[in-house]
Amino acid sequence: MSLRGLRKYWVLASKGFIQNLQYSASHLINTVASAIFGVIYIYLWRSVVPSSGFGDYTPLVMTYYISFNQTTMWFTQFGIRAHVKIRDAVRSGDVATELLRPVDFFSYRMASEYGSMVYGLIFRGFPVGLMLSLFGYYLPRNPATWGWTVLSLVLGAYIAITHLYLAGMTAFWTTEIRTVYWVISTLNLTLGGASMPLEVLPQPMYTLARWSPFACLTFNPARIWLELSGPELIIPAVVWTVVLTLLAQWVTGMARRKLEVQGG
Amino acid sequence: MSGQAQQLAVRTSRLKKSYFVQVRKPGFLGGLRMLVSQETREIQAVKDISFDIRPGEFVGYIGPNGAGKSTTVKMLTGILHPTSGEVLVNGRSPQRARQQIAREIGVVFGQRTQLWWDLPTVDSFDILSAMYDVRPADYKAFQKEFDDLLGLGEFLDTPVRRLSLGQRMRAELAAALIHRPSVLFLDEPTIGLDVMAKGRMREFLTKINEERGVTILLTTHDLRDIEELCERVMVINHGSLVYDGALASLRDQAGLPTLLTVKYARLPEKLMPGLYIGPKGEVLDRPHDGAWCVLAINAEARTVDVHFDRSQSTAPAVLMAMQALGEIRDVSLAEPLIEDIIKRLLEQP
Amino acid sequence: MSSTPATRPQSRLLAGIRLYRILLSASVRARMQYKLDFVASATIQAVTGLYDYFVIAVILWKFDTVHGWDIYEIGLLYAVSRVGWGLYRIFCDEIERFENYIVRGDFDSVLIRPWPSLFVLLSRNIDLTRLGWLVQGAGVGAVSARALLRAGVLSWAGVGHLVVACVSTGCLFLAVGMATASAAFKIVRIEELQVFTENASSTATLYPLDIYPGWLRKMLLWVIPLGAGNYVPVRHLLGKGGTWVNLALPPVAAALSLCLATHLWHLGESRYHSTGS
Repeated sequence: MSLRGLRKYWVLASKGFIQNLQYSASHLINTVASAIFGVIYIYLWRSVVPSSGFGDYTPLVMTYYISFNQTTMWFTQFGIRAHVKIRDAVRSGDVATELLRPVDFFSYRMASEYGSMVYGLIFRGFPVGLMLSLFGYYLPRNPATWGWTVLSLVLGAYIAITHLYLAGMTAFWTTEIRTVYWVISTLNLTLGGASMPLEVLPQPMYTLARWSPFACLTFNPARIWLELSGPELIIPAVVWTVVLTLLAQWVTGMARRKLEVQGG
Repeated sequence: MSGQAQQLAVRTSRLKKSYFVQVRKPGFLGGLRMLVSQETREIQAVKDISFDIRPGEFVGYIGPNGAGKSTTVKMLTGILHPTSGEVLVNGRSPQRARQQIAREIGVVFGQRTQLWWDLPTVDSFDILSAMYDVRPADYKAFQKEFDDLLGLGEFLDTPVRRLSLGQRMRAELAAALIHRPSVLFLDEPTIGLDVMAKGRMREFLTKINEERGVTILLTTHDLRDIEELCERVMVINHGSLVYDGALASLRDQAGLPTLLTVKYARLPEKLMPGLYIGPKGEVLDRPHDGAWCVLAINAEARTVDVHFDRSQSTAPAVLMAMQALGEIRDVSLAEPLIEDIIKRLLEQP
Repeated sequence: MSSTPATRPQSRLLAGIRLYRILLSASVRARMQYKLDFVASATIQAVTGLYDYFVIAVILWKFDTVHGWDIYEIGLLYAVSRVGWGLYRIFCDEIERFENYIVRGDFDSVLIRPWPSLFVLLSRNIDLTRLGWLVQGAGVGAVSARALLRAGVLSWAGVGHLVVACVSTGCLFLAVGMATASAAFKIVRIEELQVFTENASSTATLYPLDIYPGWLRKMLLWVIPLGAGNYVPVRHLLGKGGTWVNLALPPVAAALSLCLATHLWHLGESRYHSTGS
């Protein structure tokens, strides 16, 4: 990948960022609304967790868990539109030209999503985090933790985009991607541990969830940030990144061949 | 009954509509300052308009974009309330009696639909007839009449979203007349229609105006609409009425010149801008009765631009005259722009 | 000649009912045109909100109760809220999507009709795809009520009160929706505001208000009074406190909220008359 290639991705990412830049009172309201969701879960957990806690989680840790997740969800869970864009491109036929562009289709989608996701983190996640810090926010003292968390979030975002990329790619073979999208986003939330730590799940589900790619979106970064687990959680993220990338490339190839056979 | 003045269909008196917008300051700091200060600027959409429309009149209402046409119509229909001045429709104020007046008027917005998008056309009519308390017998009569007049039968069962523009406008017109209103407001109803559809609509409008006495106020950009339908025309510019009177007089004052562009196989040598062409093809150097002015000549394209007044000459007549001067390869017509009319009007002493 | 205007209140009411009936059958027929899409939409909507129930179900599986409320008792809270929401979305969807009317200028078409603008909007469309919410809520409610009836915690009279609570909650959602929609007259885009007044608040009332701090509880009972529709009556029905007043509160709160919301709507509408779109 040449320097020019890298610059292309940077331009795409910043375009995605700027497109989202319409900060206004409505975003403020939305921030408050997101914070309310955080408050709901914080108090829900406070009311069920015994003061001795369960497993690694005391009531205070649960508050930290929720407030951190409400921040990062704006990066890895919300705001990704890759599936919609692919479906629209398939419907309109533009996808034929896009697949032929010199920029790799998958990387192109990835780069443009990162821009809006970073926007989401800064302008939605961060303010929500600020508001929830009124209730409790964990700040790790070890700088290495910050680094590992960032890395795990970056990988988590990559995996999240890939999930929705794959969902969008089904548009080549079906007319309605809503069901696939809905399934994937629900799995993202539930197995990702957004509102509850995975330890709450009954046994076969717990093991499945822990090692699934979904856990890398929200649960693993939270565990690292809260210093309940170490950087060993990066490993599953890396593995899934590789596996899903290969899967995405394969699917893209199939789509390309389908286009060539059908002629668009 | 004697001594009672015939009630006016529409009366406006010193009608004024202003909007107050926040002054926009540039830059990021300016945006912040906007939140704090309340500096506003007054935009006068309608400045001081007065006119009366008698029942049964067919009035055209023209003006450039943004002149205040839509704003006026919105005040007449009760959508907007005037900043000052008075509006009366059938003797009542749309501001205070919106719902009662709604039963007596019909409105067609050219750009927007008032029908139910996903339902078959006939369902929109059914719903509207219930909405306006139309008696079943009247509704049946309406269906038959309008099928004859507008040919609705062919697409009554088609969902509105699948209708062509021409079909949809016919349906909108019918929908606006289900409850037999005495006044009809049309806001750019012919926009986007092809020649045949326009002609059909004009025929229909003339019919309901002449045979049923429906008062019609027509807003349009197409001057052919005005020519064929209205005896009276009002011209609005920058919120003020610059003309209100008979169409014929408007022609006299401003003329309604059509531009004819003719492409010759070989440019006639005698022709030059500023000269005139007579009805037999003779070239004159002074304006003569029935002669047409040569506006411009493009030697490279071999075209000649000629102005003629539609009310006095026909295009074929002009063409025949120009044919006498040489072999014609191509012809095109351009209608006069409202802006040109207004310019001419304002130039009058 | 125009048709005789029906101005007496009784005939207006009858005319309104007749109009509503025609509209209902037309909407049903329109939906039936897209049978497959209807089923898909309704199904997705039936399962969409269940995520919230899934969360609480898992939590209660592990921890038994939330502030003394077990899974079935919370199921009643959930059911009343979802059924109320479903009723609102089915019959009043044009209010929920009012933003479009302002953005596209379609509100003008509403204003030229011989009826109050609210009536025109409420009678414009009946969205049967939202049945999914109803089904979901009724399903959870049925399961929960059955268990509670068996356990003797709930009586059959209580079930009747639950139905009243469902309808009242629907009216409360309408009031909140109307109040939010009136904001569109000033700020046009209200989608984000709706997330706050409708999504966040209704999610909060899925769980017993006891768990929340005082300020949040007050907000959900007095400002965005969705809690008055499910928490207040259900609490009494389950013997957790309160009096018969709790059972009378939902319809009263609904009526008051609707009055207030209508007032806000008229304020917004008169603003529209002076500033347009």
